[in-house]
Amino acid sequence: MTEAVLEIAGLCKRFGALLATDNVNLELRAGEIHALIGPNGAGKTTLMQQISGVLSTDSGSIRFLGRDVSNLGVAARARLGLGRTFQISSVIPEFSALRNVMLAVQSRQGTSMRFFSSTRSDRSLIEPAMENLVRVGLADRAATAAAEMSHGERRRLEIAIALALDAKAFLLDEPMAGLGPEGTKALTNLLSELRNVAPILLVEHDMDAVFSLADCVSVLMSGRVIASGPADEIRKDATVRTAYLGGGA
Amino acid sequence: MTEIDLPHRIAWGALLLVALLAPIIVGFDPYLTHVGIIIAFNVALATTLWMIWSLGVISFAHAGFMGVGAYASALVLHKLGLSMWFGLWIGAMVCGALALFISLPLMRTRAVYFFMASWAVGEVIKRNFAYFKDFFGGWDGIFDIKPPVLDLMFVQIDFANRTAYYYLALLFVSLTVWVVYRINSSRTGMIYWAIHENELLAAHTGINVFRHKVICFTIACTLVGITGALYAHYQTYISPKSFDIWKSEFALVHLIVGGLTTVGGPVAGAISLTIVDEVLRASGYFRTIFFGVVLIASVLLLPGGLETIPRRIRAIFQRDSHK
Ligand SMILES: Nc1ncnc2c1ncn2[C@@H]1O[C@H](COP(=O)(O)OP(=O)(O)OP(=O)(O)O)[C@@H](O)[C@H]1O
Ligand SMILES: [Mg+2]
Repeated sequence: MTEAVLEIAGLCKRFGALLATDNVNLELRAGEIHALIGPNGAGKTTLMQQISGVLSTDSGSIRFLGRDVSNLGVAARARLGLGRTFQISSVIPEFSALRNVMLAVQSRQGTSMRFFSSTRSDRSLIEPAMENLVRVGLADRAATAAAEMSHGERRRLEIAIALALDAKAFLLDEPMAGLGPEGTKALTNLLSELRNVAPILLVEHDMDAVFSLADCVSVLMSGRVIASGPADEIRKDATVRTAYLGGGA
Repeated sequence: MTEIDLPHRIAWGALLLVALLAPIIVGFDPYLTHVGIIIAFNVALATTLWMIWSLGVISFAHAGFMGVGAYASALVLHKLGLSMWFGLWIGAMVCGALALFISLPLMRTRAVYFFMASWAVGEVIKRNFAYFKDFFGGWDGIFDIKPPVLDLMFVQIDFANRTAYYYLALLFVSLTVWVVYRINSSRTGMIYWAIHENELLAAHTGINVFRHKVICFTIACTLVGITGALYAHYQTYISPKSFDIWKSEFALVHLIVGGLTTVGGPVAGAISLTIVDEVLRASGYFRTIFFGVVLIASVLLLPGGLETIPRRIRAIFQRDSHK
């Protein structure tokens, strides 16, 4: 078994009386897609936010690339290579697609040497940004403002940003939401290629997509992992079925 | 050079040329030269305020920091006997150090809280000038702040001469605008605008939001500190009232009328509104009312500000060419 890129142990998050995540243990290994499923309000987004650092953690630990990142801020975790997309689209709408990716490229490279020179003719910034747009199939949309892109295009743009950040793990929160059948199919193909770049922790309600992509599946319910294992085992698991029927999803 | 670049360069070049020839054009008229100097100060104030705006906030402490530069340079002259050539840089450094110190808590606040906190900072700065009477001269202010003399071996330039001071002010305002422009079009500027649009997203791309905010604020305040020193040695008199909230608010109006998305906005806004203000000066009591009318009219008739005029003209031409 390959070593874990991301290791979560005993993670808890409390909102008042509600335990949104309750003693969650989870591993993301190199080359795999690990799906996180569960009914609405199960705590999936909360868990993703704890991992990316948006939400603080009450107890438990998050290890990334062998390092405890529990006490690092969002930006520091992003610089280490925790790339994420939000449940709600997360690009800067006023920026063009290219500029959105350029921002991520410069974040990798740093500003130090180019504090004063214009970005518009900076090839060391534009070229890698363009490459990543090509990788997600958005080359011809480079100059378009993100606000004017379709929902599916924005999701691709987010992935281009994560690629530009040289992400060592992708955290994707419902990337298929709001996409039509075609968009879902195209994104499924993209994600299956992406797994070779870095492993993916995938929150998704679309079960077809989950079971065609995921190597591993964990089922979250009321903040607790009630089942976890290889995808085909989970598919047969009776408790999962009841959970889903109960959750109404 | 891209297509958009060329007209921009021509416009900036033309503006600089007019500014350089202005004293000759007006026949060295002392009053009009004075207006030119005031325009230079206002352009520097508005442009540096705009730099802070590129982070997404407006600082009402901005005129206060201009005052810090002014008082520091005046005191360097009076207490240490050193001319403005020293006071200018000492003023800038004092201003930068204070801005760095204050921005540590200030930049932890957001939106309306930043607005209120910066307002308080501006007010506290002003009140300190007034309170420490022995040091800062209280409400009476500081008099007799001599302009500098430049000794170049063969020639001596006395900046008590208005035309000479005009060119000195023009030099510094040009440098200020250039620095702000270059930072804004660099990677750093891209980061500022990302923070402007959405702090959390900026953080998710690995940007240290807080650090960038602190640095941006410090640079902008340092630049306005230099402007303050130049202001003090030109007016030769400063008082706490010279740097109150109103001055920051006028700079904000310059931004709104000029436009908020490019550095051309504050420059255009400060130039045009300073001229309008001088034209209205004759109307005495009604000046403020007229000024208000001009502001409302420009917001209603020209949303986006003066900076949108080139784009509007281009749009008209394109429409015609499609006919
Ligand atoms: N900031 C917050 N304050 C209080 N309660 C919260 C907060 N964020 C989430 N919750 C609650 O925590 C629980 C888990 O929410 P979460 O968004 O993690 O669910 P989810 O699994 O992502 O659901 P969905 O499938 O609908 O996206 C919910 O009951 C929610 O109401
Ligand atoms: Mg969710």
